[in-house]
Amino acid sequence: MLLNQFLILSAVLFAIGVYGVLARRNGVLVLMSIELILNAVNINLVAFGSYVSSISGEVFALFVITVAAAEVGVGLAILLLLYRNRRSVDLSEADLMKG
Amino acid sequence: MRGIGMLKGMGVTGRTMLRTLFPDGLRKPVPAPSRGAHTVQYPHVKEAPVTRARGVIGLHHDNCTVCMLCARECPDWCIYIEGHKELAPPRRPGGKPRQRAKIDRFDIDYALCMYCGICVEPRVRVLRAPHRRPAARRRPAGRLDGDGAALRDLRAGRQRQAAQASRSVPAPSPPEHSPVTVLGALVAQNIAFGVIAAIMVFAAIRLVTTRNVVHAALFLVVVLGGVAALFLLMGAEFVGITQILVYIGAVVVLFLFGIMLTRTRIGDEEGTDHAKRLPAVLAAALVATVTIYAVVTGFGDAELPADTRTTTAEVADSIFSTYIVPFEAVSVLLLAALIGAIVIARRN
Repeated sequence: MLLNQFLILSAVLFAIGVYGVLARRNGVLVLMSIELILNAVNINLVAFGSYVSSISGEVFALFVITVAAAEVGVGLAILLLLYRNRRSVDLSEADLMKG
Repeated sequence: MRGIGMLKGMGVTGRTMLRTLFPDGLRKPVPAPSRGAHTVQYPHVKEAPVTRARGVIGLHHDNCTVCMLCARECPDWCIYIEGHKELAPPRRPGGKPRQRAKIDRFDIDYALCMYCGICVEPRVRVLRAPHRRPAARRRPAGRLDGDGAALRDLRAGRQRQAAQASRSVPAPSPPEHSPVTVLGALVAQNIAFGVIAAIMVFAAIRLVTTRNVVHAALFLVVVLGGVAALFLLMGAEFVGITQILVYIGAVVVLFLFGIMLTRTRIGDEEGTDHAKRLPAVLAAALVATVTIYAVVTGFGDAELPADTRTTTAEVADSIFSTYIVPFEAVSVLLLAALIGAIVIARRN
């Protein structure tokens, strides 16, 4: 297998995730797109790890998974609070701090 | 004819003898046999070993604990060890008798030994003595050739040793792939990659375009499963399993809870996307173009190693030695994040 096929797939997933973050208005969907981006990064980490025959890539992928889980937990809690206060998870309406 | 040949031979012998006895020539006829000779006067003079001489491999019999480490490390499996346990007198008067391993047999099959010294390196029991030299310059090759009994003995010993090694530590056996199966595996891997990649890209695109929030979560499952499959394809088994457990098991469920708790309308609905999506498309296209260009120019046709499988034990070794500090930091981070999430989402 080529290294590149993993890297290109990861780049495509990353770009799709970027599109999702930018184009979505629903907070939950934005969080899902962020998961997509993190997974693309994980593919890269593991692919490079096996390319240079190092275990570090996998270990870092595990760390990324852990941090992503923490991020989802906190993100969803914030969304829940937002919903409770504003009756909506529409991010374009969350403009309280807009000048 | 025969006489002429003999005379010629005698001539050569005589010339060489003269050159040996009188290395400075006949004009200064001082006998100096030690300078011209290629042989040494062995009992009185000892030949200095050449600089790269590796000596012979032997055993400090007193130090040997019959641990079998040297026999197990030997790439040729040419060390034969047998031993038994026996009771030694106690250290203190009145103590229990100690058990001690006693070596019965230590043989190296020098027909197989390649003097690599791997048996010597990690421990001091087996010694390599540069000053001890084999009597013959060549390895004794006769043991495997002539004596049938010795050959049988060796074979039996090796089988016994193999059984012992497989009982304790499985010796790494070379993978027995024929070229055809390797090629087939490669093709199968590439086909699997193509299928997984196509499914993943399709699901990812649907994930960011569907208007049904629950469907988006389910497409996320597909993408995450694809990533796990890629991890397995790359031989990262532990990460793949963790991906399934953590992401598909926990994170997606968390998302579904989030969808339900925020009471987003489920089904086709307006308001999931911004009205103007062109900037987002452009940004994503830019990201993809730049990244793919960089990747293609940077890693042209670099191949992944054929067998990149890593075991969970290696991952654990790395996490709990090299990366122990980041690991603890991540653990604290996770704890803090969970407490924070509870605090944020708690009703007063």
